[in-house]
Amino acid sequence: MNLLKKAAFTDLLKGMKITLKTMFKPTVTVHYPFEKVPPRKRFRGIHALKLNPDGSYRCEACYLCAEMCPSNVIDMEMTEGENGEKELVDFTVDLTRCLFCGLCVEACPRDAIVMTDIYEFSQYDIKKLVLHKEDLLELGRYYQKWERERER
Amino acid sequence: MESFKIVIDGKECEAFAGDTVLEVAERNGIVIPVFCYHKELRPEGACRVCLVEVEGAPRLVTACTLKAMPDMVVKTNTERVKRARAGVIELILNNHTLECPICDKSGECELQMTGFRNGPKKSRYREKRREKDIVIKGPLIEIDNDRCILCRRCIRMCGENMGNRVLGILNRGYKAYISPFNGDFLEGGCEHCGSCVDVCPVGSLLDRAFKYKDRPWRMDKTWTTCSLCGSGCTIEVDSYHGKVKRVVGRIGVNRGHNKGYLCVRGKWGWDIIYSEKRLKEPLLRQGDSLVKVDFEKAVEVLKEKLEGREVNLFLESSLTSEELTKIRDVFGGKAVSDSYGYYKLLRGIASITGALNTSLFSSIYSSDVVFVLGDFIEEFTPVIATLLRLAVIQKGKRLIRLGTFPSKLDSVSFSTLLVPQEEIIDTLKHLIVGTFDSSYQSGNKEIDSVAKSLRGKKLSFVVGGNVPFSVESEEIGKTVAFLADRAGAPLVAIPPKANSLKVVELFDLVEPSNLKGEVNVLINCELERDFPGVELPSADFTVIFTPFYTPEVSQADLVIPIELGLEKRGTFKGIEGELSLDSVLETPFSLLEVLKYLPSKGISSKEKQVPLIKEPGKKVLHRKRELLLTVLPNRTGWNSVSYYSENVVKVSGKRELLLNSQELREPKLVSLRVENKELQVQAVPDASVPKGHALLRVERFTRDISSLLRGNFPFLSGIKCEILEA
Ligand code: SF4
Ligand code: SF4
Ligand code: SF4
Ligand code: SF4
Ligand code: SF4
Ligand code: FES
Repeated sequence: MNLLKKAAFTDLLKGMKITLKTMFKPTVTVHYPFEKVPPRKRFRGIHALKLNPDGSYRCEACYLCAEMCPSNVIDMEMTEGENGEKELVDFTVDLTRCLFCGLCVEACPRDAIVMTDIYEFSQYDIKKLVLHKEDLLELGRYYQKWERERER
Repeated sequence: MESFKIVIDGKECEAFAGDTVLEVAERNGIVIPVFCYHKELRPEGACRVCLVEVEGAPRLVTACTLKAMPDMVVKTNTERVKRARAGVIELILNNHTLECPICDKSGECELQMTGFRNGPKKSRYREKRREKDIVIKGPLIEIDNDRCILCRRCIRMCGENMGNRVLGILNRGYKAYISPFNGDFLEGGCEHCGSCVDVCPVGSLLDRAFKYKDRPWRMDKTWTTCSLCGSGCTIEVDSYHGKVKRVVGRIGVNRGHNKGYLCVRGKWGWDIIYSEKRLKEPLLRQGDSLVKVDFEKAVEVLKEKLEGREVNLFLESSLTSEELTKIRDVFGGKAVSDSYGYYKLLRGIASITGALNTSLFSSIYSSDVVFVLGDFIEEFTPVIATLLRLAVIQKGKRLIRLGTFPSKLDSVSFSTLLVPQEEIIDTLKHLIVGTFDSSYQSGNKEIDSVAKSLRGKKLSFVVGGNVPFSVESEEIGKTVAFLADRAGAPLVAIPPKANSLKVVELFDLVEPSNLKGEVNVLINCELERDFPGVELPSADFTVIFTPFYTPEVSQADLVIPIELGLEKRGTFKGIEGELSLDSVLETPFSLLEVLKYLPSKGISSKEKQVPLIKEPGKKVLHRKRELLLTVLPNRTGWNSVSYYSENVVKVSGKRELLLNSQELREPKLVSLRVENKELQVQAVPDASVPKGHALLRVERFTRDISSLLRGNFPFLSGIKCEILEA
C-alpha cells in the first residue's frame, strides 16, 4: 500500500494541486519590467520644469519650492538676464533626498515645477541622481506632451 | 532728564520730553506697524499706517509724529485702529504690483510683513491696477516705481541725513514717482552711498549689482568690518554657498559705530573678490618670465632667500592686527607704510599728550561743540563725514570746521573758517589764545567769532581728511593737540586706512630712502597707489604678497597670493577700539599660513616713546608766487576698489585740475609743474577752489601722477607747484 502510494506520487500531486489548477489559467500579475502599469493621473514621479508655449521656461527662480521642501532637495542659482528679466542659471533637484511629497509643486506660484509619471530613475552613478536645469526642462517637454494626451 | 508716565495698551510706560508715542512704545516692546517712520530719519507722517487711538482725541493720530505728553492714554489695538490700519494697507496694496516672487526685497520687505500681519485678507478694489511703468536705471541703483509706496524715506535719507538731495518726487497725486531730479543719478550728484537702498521698505530702490542674484532669506549673513578705509564700518556680508552676493549696512539695525551708513566702496566694492586680476597661484621668476609654482616650492624659495638677510618692508595698512604682529615677528619692525603721514600727525599729537594714539570717535558725542580740522573728510573717510553730519542734525552738536577747501559738511556747520593752507597753523594759534582769553584780538573777525563760540564750551576735536597727507601734518598735530590739551578735550585723529593705528603702534615707520636691505618685501600694496612718488629700491630679490596682479608683479622674483579683507578673520585697531572681522569665505591662500613657515626674528615689543614738548607746532609752508597743490584721489580711487571693482568703476570720477575761477577763465589743457616734473592735464575753473591753490582730482594713482609726486611721499597736500601753458 505504502509502496503503491509512493510509486503513484499521490502526495506530490496533492501538494501541487493548487499549482496545477492555476497553471493553465491566464495570469493576473504584471510582468515588470516587460510590462508596466500606467501610473495614475496624480502620481508623483520625478520633477520637471514646464515651459511656456514660446519655449521659454516658466520658473522665475523665486525659491519658494526650495523653501517649502522638507528635505532640502531643491537649489537654484539665478541672475539678471540680458533683457533685464530674471533668469535661471541652474536648478538642481537632488533625487537622493526627495521623498516625493509634492509640496514643492504645491508651493509654485507659476505652475512651473511639476511631477511627472516617471518612477524609474535608478542610476549607477549617484551624481546622475541630481537633476539640473537642462534635464528638468527636457522632462518638462515630456511632461507637457503627456499632459496634453492625458487631457484628451 | 525729567521723565513722566504715559499709558499704552494699559501698560504704564516711562517717557521723556520730546519722545514720540511710537518711540515709547518701541522701548516697551509694543509693536506699532510703520512704513514711513525710520529710526534714523526725521518723522514725517506720510503713510498713516501707525494710527493709534488717544483717549480724548476725536480722531486717530499717527504715533510716529505724536509727541508723548504726561498722562496720555494710548490704545494701539482696538477694533477701530485695526480697521483703519487694514484700510491704509489695503489702499497701498491696491496699486502695488504682485511681484514678490521676483522682487529682490521679498523676504525682508516691510510691506510684505506688515501687510501679512495687519492687512486685510481680501481687497475690495475692482478697478484696473495702476501701472506707472517708470523704471529709472542708474549705474548701481535702480528705481522700480511700480513698487514704490511713496513713504519718502529715501528722500529724507538722501536730502537730510546724507545731505545730497539727489532724490525727489516728480509729478503729483496718482502719478507721483521717485526719481533723481533730472533722471540721472550721476548728474544729480549721487555719491552712491547706498543709504536710500538700505532704508527703502519695499523693493523699489534696488541694488543693481544684486538684482535678481539671490533671495534675501537664504543667504548666510556675516557681520564684519570693512577694510577699505579708516572709518572701519561694520557691514553685513551676504553670501550663498561661499560666494558673496551683496554687502548691506542695515541702517538702524547695525550695532557698529557707523550705524549702518556706508559708502560706495564698502557697499559695492565687494566684487574685487571676483576680479579677473585676482592672483590664483604663487609665481616664481625663471629667467625673464614668471612661472606658476606650488605653495611648498614658494615657501621653500622664500625661506632660502630671506635667510639672514635684511628686508625692505613695504606695508599697506589694511592688514589685520594678527597679520601685522606676525609680519613684525618675521620681517622685523622697520617698514615703509602708507600710514607714514598719519604717523607724523600722531607723533605731533603725542608730543603734547605723550601717547601715539587717538581718542575714540564716540567721545565727540559727549561734547557740545565739535571742532573739525581738515578738508575732504568725505572723500577719504566718507562715513566719518556722515557721522559728523548726523551729530549735528540728530544730536544737536555744534560743528565748527577749519580748512582750506569748502566741504559738504559746511552746510550743517555752525561756522566754517576757510583760510589758505599756509595759514592753518597761524589760525590755530590765534584760537589757542582766543579761546581762553576774551580780550584777545586776532585781527580777523571770523577767527575771533569762532574763538568766542569755543570759549567755555565742552569741546571735542576731530582731525582727518587730508591732514595726515599734508606737508605740515606733524606741526598741525602739535598745534591742534595743544589746543585740545588746554581745553581738556578729546582729540580724534581719523586714521586714513583701516588698521593705520596698529601699524603705527607696531612698526618703526621710516622714509623710503632709509631702507638699505637686500630683499624687497611688499605686502598687500601697490607702489603707485599706496606710495605715490616712491620707487622700488634696488635689491637682490623682490617678494610680493598681493591679492592681485599689480603692476609690480612684473618686477618681482616671487609673488605669493593672499586674501582680501572680506575673506579674513581677525581684528583691526580702529577709531572705535577693536573692530572684528569675520568671514565664511574659503580661500586657498592665506598670508598667515605662509608666514607660519618663516622663522621668527624674536623682536620684543616696546612701548614707543615720544618726547613730551608741550609746544604748538611751527609753520612749515611759506609761499611766494607758487600755488599749493593738493592731489585728491576720488572717493572711489582711494584703494583697490577703483582698480579692480567693476561695480565701483562705473561711478568713478575723472581726472581734472581745479583752479580758482579768477586764475583760470575757461577750461583748457595746462601743464602742471612740481619742481622739475611736469604733467599735462585738463584744467577747469572752479569757484570752490580758493586762490593760490590747485586741486588735482584723480580717479586713481597712476604712473604719471606718481612720477609727478616723486620725492614727496607721504605728502599729497601743500606741495608747491606752478601752472604753465601746455
Ligand atoms: S517632492 Fe517633497 S521632498 Fe521632493 S523636492 Fe518636492 S518638496 Fe522636496
Ligand atoms: S516655486 Fe516655481 S517659480 Fe518658484 S523657483 Fe520653484 S519652480 Fe521656480
Ligand atoms: S545712494 Fe546716497 S547719494 Fe545716491 S541717491 Fe541714494 S542716498 Fe542719495
Ligand atoms: S522708493 Fe522706497 S523709500 Fe523711496 S518713497 Fe518709494 S518706497 Fe519709500
Ligand atoms: S567709509 Fe570706509 S570703512 Fe566705511 S564703507 Fe566706506 S570704505 Fe568701508
Ligand atoms: S509711520 Fe507714522 S505715518 Fe508712516
